[in-house]
Amino acid sequence: MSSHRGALADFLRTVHALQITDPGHAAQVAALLGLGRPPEATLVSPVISSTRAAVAASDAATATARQVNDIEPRPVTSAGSAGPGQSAEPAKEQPVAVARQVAGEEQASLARSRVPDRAIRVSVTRTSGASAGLRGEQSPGPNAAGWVGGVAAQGVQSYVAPWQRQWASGIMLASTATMQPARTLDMASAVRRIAKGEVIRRLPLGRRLTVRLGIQLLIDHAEAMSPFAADRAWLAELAQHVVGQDQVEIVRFRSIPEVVAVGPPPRLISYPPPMPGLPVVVISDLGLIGNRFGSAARVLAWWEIFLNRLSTINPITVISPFPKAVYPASVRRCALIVPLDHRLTMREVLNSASRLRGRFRA
Amino acid sequence: MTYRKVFDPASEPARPTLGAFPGDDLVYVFDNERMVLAVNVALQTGRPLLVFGPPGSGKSTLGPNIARILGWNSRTEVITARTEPEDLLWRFDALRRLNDAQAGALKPEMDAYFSRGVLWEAFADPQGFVAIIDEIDKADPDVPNGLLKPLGTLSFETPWGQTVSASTGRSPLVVITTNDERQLSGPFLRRCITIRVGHPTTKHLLKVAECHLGEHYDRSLALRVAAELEQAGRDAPQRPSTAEFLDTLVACIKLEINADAAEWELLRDVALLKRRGSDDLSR
Repeated sequence: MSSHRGALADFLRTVHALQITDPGHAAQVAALLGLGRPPEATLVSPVISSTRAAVAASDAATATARQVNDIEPRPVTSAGSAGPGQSAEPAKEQPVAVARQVAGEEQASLARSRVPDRAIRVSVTRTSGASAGLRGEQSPGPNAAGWVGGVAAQGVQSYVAPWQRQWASGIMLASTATMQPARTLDMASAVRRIAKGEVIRRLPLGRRLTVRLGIQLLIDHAEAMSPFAADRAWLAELAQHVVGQDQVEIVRFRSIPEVVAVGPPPRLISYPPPMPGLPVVVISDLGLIGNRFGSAARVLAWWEIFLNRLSTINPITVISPFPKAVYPASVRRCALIVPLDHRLTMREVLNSASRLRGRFRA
Repeated sequence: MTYRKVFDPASEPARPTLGAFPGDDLVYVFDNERMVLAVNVALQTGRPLLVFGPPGSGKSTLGPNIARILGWNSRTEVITARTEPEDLLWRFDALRRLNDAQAGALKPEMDAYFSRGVLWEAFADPQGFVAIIDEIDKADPDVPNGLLKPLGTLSFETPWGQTVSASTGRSPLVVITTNDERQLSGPFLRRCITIRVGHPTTKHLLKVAECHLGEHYDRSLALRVAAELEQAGRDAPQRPSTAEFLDTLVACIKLEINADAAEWELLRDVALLKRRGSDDLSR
C-alpha cells in the first residue's frame, strides 16, 4: 500500500507536469508507475462500481452503450453527465456492432479492473477507512476529530520521503526560518556610520536566520491531497522536530482555510489569524489538483487573494506537490513555494527565501 | 557493576551538616548505576553527557551534583530561543568598546571586551569544571551544530586568534540536558554520551524524600504523596515532577498539614496537581 500511495502521488505530479488531458495517456503513465492493475476495492471509484451493478442488471445493449461511454477517453461520468468543472462534450455515436463487441468483452472481463481507462477518476478517488493512509493516517471525517487525529498515528515501513533524508531538516529549516535581529554588532554598518560622523542612537545589529518565532502550520486535508497524506504527516512531524513541538501551531482545513480544525481537544473554528510576523507554512496544492481534474476552479483564485493579504504581515511558505512554476506569478510573489521534490536542496530554498523575503527585513 | 570509577557517588566527601531542607544542588539520589556509568564514560572519553528526560526528572540538578561530588567548579547556562552559538563561548561587549573608543580610553587587549562563556570557563579551568548547558532543545538548530567543533576537540579559537583548549590531563565535563522538544542532529548526537532519565519510581521518590527531608521525613506521608503523583500521571498526559513531589512534602511539613486534614486536597491541587487535574484555584 505504501509504494502504491507513493506511485499515486508521482502519477499526479507527472500528469500535471506533462499537461496530460487525455485519459489514454494518463492510463499509460499509470501503468508505467505500476498502477496498472491495482486491487479493485481500493482504486475503483464508487461511481464505477455502481455503474457495473447497473450494467449487470439492465439490458445488454443499453448497458453496452453506457459502458462504451464510460470508457471513452473523455472527461464524462458514467451517467453521461459532465462532472463538476468538466467540459460536457457530447458523447460520440458508436456503431451498434462495435458497441456490442465491446459490451461482450466488458461482460467477459467484468471482474477485471478497468483502472487504466479511468486513471484520472482514480486519482481523485479518496481511499478511506483502514486503507486511508500510508502512515496510518486517519480518514479525515466530517468533524474536527477526524482532522486533528491525522498526524498522530505513525508506523510507516517503507515510506520514501519527498526530500532527501539527509537534507530534509535543512530544507524545513530554510522554509520556516526568518531573518531576525541578532545580538552581534553589524560592524560594517557601525564603522560606516561612525566614519560619517553620525550620532549612533541605536546600535546596528546583525541578523540571523532563526525559527525562534515558531510557525503556524496549515495542513490541507482536501480529498485531492489524499495521495500526499503520508507526505503531509511526515512534513508535520519534521516541522515539529525542526521548529520545536511547542512552537508549531497546527491548523487543519479542507481546500481553503475558512473553517479550520484545531486541537486537541479537536474543534472547528474560523481561521485564527497568526500573530504579525509569525511565519505561516501551508501544506497544500492550493487547489491545483482540483483544477486539473475538474473540481472547483475558484480555489486557486481564493488562495491568491488570501496569500496576498496575509503576506503583507506574515512570511508565507507553501509546501506543494508541484513546482513553483505552475503557480501564477501573484502567488509566487507573495509566498515561498517549496516543492516536494527529491532534487531540492537547502541552498535552493535559502536563495529563494532571501530573494522573496528581503522586504521582511526591518 | 564493578569498574574503576572516576566518579563514585559513594565516595562523596564528608559535608558540613545540611540544613533542614537542603537545596537541589546539595542532594541527589544516584540510585541508577547506568547513570553513574554514563558519567564515568563521559569523564573518561571527554565527550559531553547528553541527558534526555521529561521536565522535573532531575536533569538540571545532575550536573551541579556531579561537580559537588567531584569537588569541581560548575556553571549552568540555561538556553533560550535567543541563545546564539557564540554565547556559550564568549560574549562581546560592543557597547563598552564603543564607549571607550569615543572617550579615548580604548584598551589594547581585545579580551577586555569579551566575557567568558560557559565553555570557555570549562576549558580554561585546569582544576576540573562541570559545564551545564540546560535545555539545549530550546535553541535554534544552529546552536548545537555550532558546538560540534568545540565539543569535539575541546578547544576553540577566539575572534583575535587565541586558542582556548582544555588541559590534556583533565577534561572538563559538559552536561547537556534536553526535553526532546526539538530533534538534535546526528553529528551532535554522535559526539555525546547519551542517557535517558525516566519517570521516578515510588522507591526512588521515597529515597529522594528521605535525603531531602532528613529528620522530618514521614514515610506514610511520602507514600501518600507518591501515590497521588502516580495517579495524576495516569489521569493526565503530564505527570507531576519530582520537584513538585518534594514541594508538596515540604509544604505539608512546614504548614503541618497531613493527609487527613481538611486543607489536604487544596494543598495537593496547588502544589502537586496544579492545572493537570480538575482543580479550580478560584474556589
